[in-house]
Amino acid sequence: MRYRLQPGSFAWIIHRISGIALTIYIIFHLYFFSGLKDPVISESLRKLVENQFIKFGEAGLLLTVIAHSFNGIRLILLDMGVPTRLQKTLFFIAALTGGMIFLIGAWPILGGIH
Amino acid sequence: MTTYTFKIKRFNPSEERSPRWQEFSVKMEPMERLLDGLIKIKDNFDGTLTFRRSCAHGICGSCAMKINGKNGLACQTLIKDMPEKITVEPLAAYPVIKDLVVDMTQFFAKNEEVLPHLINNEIPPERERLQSSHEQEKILQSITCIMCGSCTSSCPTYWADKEYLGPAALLKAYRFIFDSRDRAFDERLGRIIHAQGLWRCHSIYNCVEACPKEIDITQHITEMKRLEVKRFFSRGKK
Repeated sequence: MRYRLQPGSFAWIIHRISGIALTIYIIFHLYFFSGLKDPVISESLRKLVENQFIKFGEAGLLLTVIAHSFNGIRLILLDMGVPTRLQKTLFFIAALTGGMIFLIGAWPILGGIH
Repeated sequence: MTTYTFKIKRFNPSEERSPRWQEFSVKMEPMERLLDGLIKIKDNFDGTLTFRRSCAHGICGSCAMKINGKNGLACQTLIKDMPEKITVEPLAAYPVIKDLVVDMTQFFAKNEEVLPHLINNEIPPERERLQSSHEQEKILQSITCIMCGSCTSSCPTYWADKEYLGPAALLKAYRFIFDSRDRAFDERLGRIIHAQGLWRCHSIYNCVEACPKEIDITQHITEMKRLEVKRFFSRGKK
């Protein structure tokens, strides 16, 4: 179905994709980290975290969490009584603040601060 | 006069297997409407082009269609606001009868589900049932719905689940739930509180963008959601 995107529908698609991605991530996260008590697994995980690809993954995770949570706050505000005519404004505020927080957070993750 | 290219999705399910696109070049004045363009095509180029139109003044809702990827009324769309290439399709999610004419049986069936009429068994007054201006204001936007189907057809939730009531039926439910003259409050809420009802709205706002009468449909749905939450938590308190 092709239909013109607007901020509301774009936010909905992002919310769905990030929600599914985070659900899959949390399953893998709990599975791998359940083995932390084992020194061998612990050491291999520590080495894995230093991998450059994993660092990009972590930045991606941060972006996914920010996108999902900021749009979640937008939806809660709209459900709590903020007039729905402000949905686009709230979308742009969420995108702007979320983007800034992502840049601040991703900088040290990707090795910007030593 | 400027020449506009109309790219129209044609489909005759009784004769064709799949839809096809056909282009027409039409000379248009800036203040003419998209509907005028379609009428010119039917009169001068291809008499088999099929579309609905009745009042041609934004009241009947017959000429609702997808224009450049977004639902709207052809009679309310001025050519001067359009790019020189205009894509016209039938409303999405409804079965196509022919070209731009869709079968709206299911749409109206959903409207029936929410009891679209006043229910009040009290003895009627000598004249009309009166409302205060404040009471009227609550339903003012919702009564302007012309039932064109643009909103329900633009809703991704409806695309995925044809059993979903859809924004138009929910707006109609609001119109009577918040009507001070109506007495079927509980029955009306009961008809929209189910898996394919009120809570299936995911606040996507396509319906608000599509509505040719500029009704803030999601605001109305949200108000019903809040009403139901309040009702749920106040149960047994009286």
